[in-house]
Amino acid sequence: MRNRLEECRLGRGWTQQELADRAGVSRQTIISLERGRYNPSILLAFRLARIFTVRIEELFLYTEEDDDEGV
Amino acid sequence: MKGSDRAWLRQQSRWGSVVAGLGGLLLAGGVLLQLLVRGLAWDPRLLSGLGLLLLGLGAGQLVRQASLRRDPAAARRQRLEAQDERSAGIRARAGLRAFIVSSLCTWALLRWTSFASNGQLPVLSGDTLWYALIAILLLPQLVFFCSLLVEERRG
Repeated sequence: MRNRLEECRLGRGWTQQELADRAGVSRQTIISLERGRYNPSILLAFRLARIFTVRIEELFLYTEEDDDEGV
Repeated sequence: MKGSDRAWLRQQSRWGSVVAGLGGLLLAGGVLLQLLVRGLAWDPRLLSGLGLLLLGLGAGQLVRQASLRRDPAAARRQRLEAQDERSAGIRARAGLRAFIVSSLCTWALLRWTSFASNGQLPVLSGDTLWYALIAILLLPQLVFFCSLLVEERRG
């Protein structure tokens, strides 16, 4: 699933480690999320959306093709 | 230190105490049996050896938690690493693969011994059986670690 995580993070001037600390995950998870290689749990997605004060749909961009990728 | 970090440290310390306590009991039991009981069918040093191992593991865990208590940043990092949802998912998938391989290997060895007792397959000698059991132990571990490596690299 595509997302705007990197764009939002850079907009705030945060490093991946800083975002990881705020979200309570490892830096590797942030890297995987930004590369679109990992789809977060619903809890983590909400947490990230709340960190950036945006709606979840503005951060994670769901398309029909995402269904074919699996989890 | 945050409450969630403290709770995680407490939980880890509890595990360390349980393992160390169990180890202490086994060690004491083994030593007492060795001193007081004669003519046992098995060597009580096996029990005290296992107790010593558990005691060491538990004590190691307790020492590690004590040092993390003095370093809140390291404690938080350790908790995040341990509870990180992506890492937990990778570990769970690797564990599932290892379990499937372990089940298949055990099933295959059981089938072999069943057929061997019917004379349909050669009987495994003591040495061969030992190597087969070692393979059953090591193969799932290999699958587990390879899965971890592949998924970490992919992510």
